[in-house]
Amino acid sequence: MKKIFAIVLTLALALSLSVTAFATEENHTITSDADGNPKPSTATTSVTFGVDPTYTITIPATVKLTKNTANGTVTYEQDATITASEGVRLLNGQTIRVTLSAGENEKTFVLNTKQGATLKYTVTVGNTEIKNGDIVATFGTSLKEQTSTLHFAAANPTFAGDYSDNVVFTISIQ
Amino acid sequence: MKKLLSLVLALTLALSLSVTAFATGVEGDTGTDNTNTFSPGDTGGKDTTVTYTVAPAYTVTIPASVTIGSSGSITATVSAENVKVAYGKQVVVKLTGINNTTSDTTFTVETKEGASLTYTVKKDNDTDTISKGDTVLTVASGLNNETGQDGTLTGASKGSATLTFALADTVQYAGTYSGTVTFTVSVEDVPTAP
Repeated sequence: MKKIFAIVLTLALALSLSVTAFATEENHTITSDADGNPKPSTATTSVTFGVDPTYTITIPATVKLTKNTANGTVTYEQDATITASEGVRLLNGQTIRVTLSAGENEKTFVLNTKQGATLKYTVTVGNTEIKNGDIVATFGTSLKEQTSTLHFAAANPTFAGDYSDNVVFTISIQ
Repeated sequence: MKKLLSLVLALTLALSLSVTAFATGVEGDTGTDNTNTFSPGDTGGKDTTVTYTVAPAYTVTIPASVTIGSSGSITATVSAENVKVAYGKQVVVKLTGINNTTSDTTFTVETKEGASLTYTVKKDNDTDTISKGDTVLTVASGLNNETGQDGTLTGASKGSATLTFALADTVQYAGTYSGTVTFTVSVEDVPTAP
């Protein structure tokens, strides 16, 4: 008998706790006091609206440098564009930052062939040369498309071969 | 000792009887029974006053919160039920405050980061927007009578207003926007027709 009583008490306690959990306030109720005055006389309604952050950043998967013979000097160059599609929506005061890093265990931008030849190259945004880890694009909240153009350039190499390197773009919200 | 006890008992009984005697004639919920006394030689009639008191009553329901959805708008209902107020009086609900300030006259929601959006409040199918201080609901006795569970009239009145909260700005920044509106309830005279 005591066990049954204990079970009933436990269930009652559990049910009362669950009722408390669901007891969120949905409405204010104002009633009349004995003199006809409202009690309380005012009630406040909370108005809320939530908007999730939204953005789409496009990074080129490959950049193929092409031969440039302008000014009588052979170089290999190419532009690459990072794009933030129209409708970037961030918290007020926030921006999207895109940084560029050299490949794994590298501190500078260097192209390599499988035969072991190397060729340094530069990355510039506008007139600014980008170092390992530098910011290459900053995008804010905007209804319009935003872009940043990176210029990759290498001198004429000594050795023939297929030169390649991997760079890493990192996107963060600041 | 027995005599003393008897005396105390007798006094107690007498006092309780006197209390009962004073309890008659006191106005109660069911009315009064003050009497008119006729004496020999009295002529004419005497008036009996009949009274019945109904305490004012009403229940006004205000939404504690509204969340504007992705469509940019949401509706909420302000209602008054079981309204029994004096003849010539009405329950009035006004929108009297915005964001807990006395200076704000524009409906705005803001994020903690500082972005803000304006919104409008419209009542029922009105084309005009509600402004701070406007009345959103009035319910007087004798109108829109309620019926009880058994279908009979309760004598009380009821009424409601559907308020539409709609964004008025293009949303640029993400975030959780919030604000408040304050409603004030009062009992006022029903305006007389001009």
